[in-house]
Amino acid sequence: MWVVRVAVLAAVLVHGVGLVAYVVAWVAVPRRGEDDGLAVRVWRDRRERHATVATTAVATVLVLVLAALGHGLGVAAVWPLLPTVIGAIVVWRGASTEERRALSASLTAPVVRVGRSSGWRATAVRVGLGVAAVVAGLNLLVASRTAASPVTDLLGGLVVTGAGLLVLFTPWWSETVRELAEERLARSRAQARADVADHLHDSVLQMLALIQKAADDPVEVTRLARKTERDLRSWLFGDERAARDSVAARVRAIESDVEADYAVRVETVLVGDAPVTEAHEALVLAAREAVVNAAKWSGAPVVSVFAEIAPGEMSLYVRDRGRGFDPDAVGDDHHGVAHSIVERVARAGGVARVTSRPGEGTEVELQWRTVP
Amino acid sequence: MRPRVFLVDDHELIRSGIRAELADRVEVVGEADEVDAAIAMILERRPDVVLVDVHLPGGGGRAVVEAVRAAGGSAAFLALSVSDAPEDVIALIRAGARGYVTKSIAGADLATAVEAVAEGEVVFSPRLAGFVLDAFRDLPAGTTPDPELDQLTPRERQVLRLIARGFTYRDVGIELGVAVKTVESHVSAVLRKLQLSSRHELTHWAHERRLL
Repeated sequence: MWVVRVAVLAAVLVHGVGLVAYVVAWVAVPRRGEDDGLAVRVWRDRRERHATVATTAVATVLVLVLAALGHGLGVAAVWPLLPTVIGAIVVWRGASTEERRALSASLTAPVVRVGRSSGWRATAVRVGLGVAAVVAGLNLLVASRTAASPVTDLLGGLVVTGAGLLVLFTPWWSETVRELAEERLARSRAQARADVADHLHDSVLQMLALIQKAADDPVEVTRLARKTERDLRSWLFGDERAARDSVAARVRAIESDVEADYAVRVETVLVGDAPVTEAHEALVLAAREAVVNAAKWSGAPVVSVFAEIAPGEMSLYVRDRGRGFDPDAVGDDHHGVAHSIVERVARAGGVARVTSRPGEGTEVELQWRTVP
Repeated sequence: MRPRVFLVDDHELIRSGIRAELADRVEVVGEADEVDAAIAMILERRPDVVLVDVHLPGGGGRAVVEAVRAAGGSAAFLALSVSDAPEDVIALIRAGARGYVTKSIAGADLATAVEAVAEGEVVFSPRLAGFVLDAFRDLPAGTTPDPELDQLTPRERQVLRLIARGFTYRDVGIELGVAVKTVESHVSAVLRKLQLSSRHELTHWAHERRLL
């Protein structure tokens, strides 16, 4: 390898040929372990190509503008400057992601270190640099009125003053921004906690107080506990059940309403869901009637509801293991209710069946299906 | 012989409640309120049945089931929960639990469920039956990689529907005119499908359900 290096160095002396060759080789020849050279990589990737062309164009314009303004950048200076800038751009765009990260880290590390550090030495460096830049910039600005090239001096003065101000105030500013963000986060957390506390106070704490008062009445205690549980659960598990326009939500509502009014537990099992139609609605209302009926008459502590729901189809079962009744006996109050359930469902185009035997509980079965 | 039972639940009140309810019919050999302690103690005390809460600090009941089974523990798991979230329950069953009951279950029913699980049976509460029907719902034939595992047979569906309606295994047997043993074997088959099926609906189903 050293032979090549010496040869290149020697070639530099011959009108800089070695230099050009070195740069061309660097850009074009793939490195060990890689398939493509830098230039090929940039050219292959359409996005990289566009980015390179665009940044090159901007850089060229900038260099030319600087040259036109004069001030030490004569036409002679443009020729070495332009290839350097373009070369840097190609190298940057062609670098792999890791290389780019390493490159930018090594370029910015000292700046970041000085900028982040709050030690007195770093602060002194920062303040010294900033003040120096501001003073130099202001000097340039003042001098620009009498200078030979006022525009350049004016621009230069502005840039240098701005840079000085940035160096002076960026750490303070970024600190303020960070503190603001932290404060906002803390406030939103506190807000969330306050919401939870509010809700728990409204529902759970009130209910616990009521439960303590009703300690002698087991039925009331159970009812209150169930209601609290239901409220809390619907609050915790979200809004899916708050949507009242789905059949499942309406069946679920039977559970909460009946449990609120009667001392029974309603266990609801749901499969599927659908948007509410008239027929669905009729079946849900019939099921509600059946659940209320069971709660009032059966004497069973639990009423089971099972619903299988689909658009254009629904089965609902309401079952208790209470005292039951004899379907053949007429005139009985809750038998009349059973009768009205059957009629209601029949009007909607469905079928209802009530099965009951004294001592073994009752099951109401509601079926409806659109004719295909 | 009374089954040896281990309780895993992070609420002291729930644990003591369960202990009191089960006292006459099972032997409680230990309890734990978090995942790591539960795993160590279950492997050490070798209970017949572990009652495990779905929600636990440190990974949930699922972590306990998976770790104990991976370490070769022979305990049968019965999931116990107040949670309504079907995906958590299904995940626990898929991890290897033999059944699921809610904490509102009556004491005598819980004891019966524990005895059933201790004897290798599967305990399907109405709610679990509903979850499973939902998970295996609406799948046109021929769209799954393994129809044997990814579909329920009409008979299995029938059994699950009856359980969801609140029927006991015995009632299901009477209704369908078959022996209780037959009902139990249907339910075991459903559990096996639930655990082995690779159908991706099972994982996506929960998300879809949330959108309803």
